[in-house]
Amino acid sequence: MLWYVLRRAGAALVVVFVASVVVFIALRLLPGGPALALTAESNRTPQLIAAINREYLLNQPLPVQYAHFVWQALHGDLGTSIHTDEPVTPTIVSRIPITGELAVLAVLFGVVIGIPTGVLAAVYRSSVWDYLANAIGLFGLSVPTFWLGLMLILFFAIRLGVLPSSGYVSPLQDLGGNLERMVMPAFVLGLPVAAVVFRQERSAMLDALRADYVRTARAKGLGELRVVGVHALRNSLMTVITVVGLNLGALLGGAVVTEQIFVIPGFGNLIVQSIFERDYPVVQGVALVTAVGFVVVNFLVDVAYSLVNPRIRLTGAAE
Amino acid sequence: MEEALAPRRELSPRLRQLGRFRRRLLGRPLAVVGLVLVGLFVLVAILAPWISPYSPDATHYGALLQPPLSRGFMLGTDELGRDELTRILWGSRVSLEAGVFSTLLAVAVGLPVGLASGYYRGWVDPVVMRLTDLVLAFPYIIVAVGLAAILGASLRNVVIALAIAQIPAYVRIARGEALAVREEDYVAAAAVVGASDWAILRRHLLPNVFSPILVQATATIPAAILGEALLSFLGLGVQPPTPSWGTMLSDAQSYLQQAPYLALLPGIAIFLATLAFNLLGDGIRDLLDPKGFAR
Repeated sequence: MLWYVLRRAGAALVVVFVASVVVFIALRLLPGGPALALTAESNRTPQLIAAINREYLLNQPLPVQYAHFVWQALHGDLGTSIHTDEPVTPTIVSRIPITGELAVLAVLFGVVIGIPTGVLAAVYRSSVWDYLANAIGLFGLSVPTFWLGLMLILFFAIRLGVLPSSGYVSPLQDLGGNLERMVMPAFVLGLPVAAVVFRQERSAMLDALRADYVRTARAKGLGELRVVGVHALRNSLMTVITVVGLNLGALLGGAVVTEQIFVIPGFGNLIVQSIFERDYPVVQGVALVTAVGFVVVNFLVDVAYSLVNPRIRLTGAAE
Repeated sequence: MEEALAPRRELSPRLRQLGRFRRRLLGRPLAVVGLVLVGLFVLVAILAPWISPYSPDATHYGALLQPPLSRGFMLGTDELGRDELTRILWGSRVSLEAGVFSTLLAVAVGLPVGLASGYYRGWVDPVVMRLTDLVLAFPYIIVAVGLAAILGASLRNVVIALAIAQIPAYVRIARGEALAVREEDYVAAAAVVGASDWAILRRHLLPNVFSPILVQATATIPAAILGEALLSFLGLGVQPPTPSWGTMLSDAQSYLQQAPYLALLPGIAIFLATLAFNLLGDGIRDLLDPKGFAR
């Protein structure tokens, strides 16, 4: 067991290292360096360019720049934004709770909608309800989220005027205002989650309902509610939890788009904004945080599975 | 059972299999709807230059922001007086190119790399696996956004960015199949009778890997269509004046109040294109997934 965990941890470290190198190199391949991006064409003098290059170590050899970057990063210092002159680490730290709230609300929505509809669709298989739920599920999977966001703004904010179209207020300041602004983004981000959860739950439930232990439970004379609600549901949930875990990455991708539409100053917004502004230190920091975050999550998921399912640990077939 | 009946004509087993597959697929109404929509989508993309009422760049300054069903413009015009119907028809080309070409490119790279990695193992295998881990450590959309930013905004670069984001999935599928098949007795038997590696790859690995790759493709094509629309919407994809559903939506944002149809129509187009592939994909997946037969 320990050997397995160590091996996974080693692989995770390699990925983080390679990711940091790739991010570092890729940014320097971007068309137009930071010195050009920072200065207006009119007052771009060689002296100014040289000064900027010196300040951000851009005139040093790449390995030196990289070593400097890693050393600083290990001390929690991801540099200073070229654009705003603010340190990167606190900027990132301040953005994460906003995206976190959005993601939690979206997953909550997805699970609260997806699981009951999935169970009902499986229990009343081939009924009108099953077809209707499947159709809505397909809609949730196929609808472009950014378009759905625009349509919601058009309808609820512009036509009806019942919800604010964009912006963000901290829930600590004004909980009502925060939720008011989060309803549409959480729905937009949560709809595909609900669709995926629904489909997984339906198929897992269909499998569970055919399983021997369900037949045994029925044979014992248990009520249908108990058979479905306890025996089958509990087993089908394992699959759903796995799927939600696997979809955390897609969720961050979706958050990028959602935050763009609803002008929410979250982590996803920071990703796009920093890429557009060619704000090297911010892009570096954001990419590094994303990579480390996902590697850590994947690592924890792998270890958790190996605890639950000894077969993975013995064959090492976690991939 | 149908299979037990002797076929009247002598068909090769593969052809017979294909016929059976087609009959089963056509027995699913939703899959048929998907197939028809995909066919329509492809047809529109090919025929766009001939069936469009105007040229996609033609501006009509006397008819700016005309609502749908106005005289001469069935779906209205945009802020430059360009015909909305024409631009939606032309937009299907960009969508289809991005969806299909990025998936083809990803298969062309991922399939051989995955097969070789799983079949030969050695030092290549762990390197390939860590590389796929690396790409998979970032969300699909973020990989595409980052790559598009590095490569520069154009349709070709969108295709490349989307393909790179898809490759790891294909590598893993191909590798998994190769790993499983190389342990089979019939592969060992083929090697014993002197079959070359190439022959084993072609005769034994490729047929096995075909259905999981096809299933994956039905998932990545709609994802890539959405990806292109999104990149273009963010300004990282197809550049004006080329009509793309994503850029059309992005332009429409400024006219949400006066001309909501400008935001409505391209979105419906994206939705239908994705839905078509998802419906067809569901049908194919149910048929090819061994569990599906039991249902």
